[in-house]
Amino acid sequence: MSGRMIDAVLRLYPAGYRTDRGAELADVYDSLAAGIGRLARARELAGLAGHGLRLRAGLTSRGLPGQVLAAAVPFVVGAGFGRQAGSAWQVSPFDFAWHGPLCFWGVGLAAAWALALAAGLSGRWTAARWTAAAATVGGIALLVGWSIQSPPYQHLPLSYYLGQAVRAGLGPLAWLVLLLSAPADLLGGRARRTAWSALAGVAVALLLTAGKEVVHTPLLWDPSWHPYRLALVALPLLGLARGRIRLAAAAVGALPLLFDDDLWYWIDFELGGARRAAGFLAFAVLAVLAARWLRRRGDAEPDRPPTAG
Amino acid sequence: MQEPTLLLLTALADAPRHGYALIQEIAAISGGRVRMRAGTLYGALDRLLGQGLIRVESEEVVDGRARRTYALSDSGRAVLAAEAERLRAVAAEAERRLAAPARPRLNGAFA
Repeated sequence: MSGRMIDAVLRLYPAGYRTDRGAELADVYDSLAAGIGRLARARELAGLAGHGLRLRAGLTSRGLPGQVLAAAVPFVVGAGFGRQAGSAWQVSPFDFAWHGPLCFWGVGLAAAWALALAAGLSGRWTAARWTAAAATVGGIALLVGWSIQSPPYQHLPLSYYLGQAVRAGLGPLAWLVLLLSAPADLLGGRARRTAWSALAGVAVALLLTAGKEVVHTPLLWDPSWHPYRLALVALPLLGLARGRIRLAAAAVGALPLLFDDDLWYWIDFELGGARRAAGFLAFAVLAVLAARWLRRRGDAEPDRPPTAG
Repeated sequence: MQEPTLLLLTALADAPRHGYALIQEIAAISGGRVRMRAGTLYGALDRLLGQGLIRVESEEVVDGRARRTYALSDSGRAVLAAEAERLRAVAAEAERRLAAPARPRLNGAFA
């Protein structure tokens, strides 16, 4: 049974890597599995599967994209807490409901994010990552549950609320993917740097959630600013181009915060069909150019493991 | 330097080791606090091989399976020595300050 499981996991690896390292990985797993329980074996398999998927996606710690994701984890943990705490001032039901019967769950999620932040600030970034991932899943579940059970405007069809929930869930989902795909061997680092990154996440998220209710300045929230918000998508690439990994990481972590329901409303109802299509096309072109640029830099994952020595 | 990297280089400082032995050695060095998973270990090994900080010392076949032994390279040894020196300096400074008699707080200096 155990042999079949490791074989299935190894099929997730790129063929070249599997040929070169598969037997070695299976040997290490077998040695580990002999002395641990079922749950620990499942975690080992999940870890090996994660490494294989990162190799396929080009997100291991060898490449720039993986390094950016690992550096973004402290910012996301801080931003998740800031967003959950900041949404106490929100009136929109699609920003993690704090109102009515779901308030209890909102408080629970805030507590989970606070635990993740505390774990991170005390240097336990693996625990912080998993706690934050659980809180993100909880937030998405709460969002979907709220949309299905208590739509605020009864005359609109359920599909409308589900569509809104999917859009509102895209940001948390992006965070979840980021948290799970960051390479574990690069989590943490200098305590002061990671602490500042986490606290920057808290500050940015508080500004973008509670800030627009408390500070009556049209800064990023006025519709005339929305095109510039979209332009911020290019910030991670600018950071990378200048070799500023932490700037790029903070920008990647903050992007999901910018896509709130105000922005979606503007895209849906104020931008207009032709400009909307042009915007999505520009996004697609930007994504392709970014992928090609990263590949040219030599940061793409090779099919085989390095063989130095 | 991230802790997994530091522990991995430290585990290779005195002798070349294969994957499973590295996981055991890292647990021993950290007093059981760090239990590195195989997926994390091989992610770190790939990165350190790519950076030239470690090298493959030998490959052998045990029970029909390939087993590589990894060793610290010269540049890996230099990087580990520099990190150890940095940590030693911080620890020495912490001990010096702890040993010094506590200075009284200056309250009401402008009163």
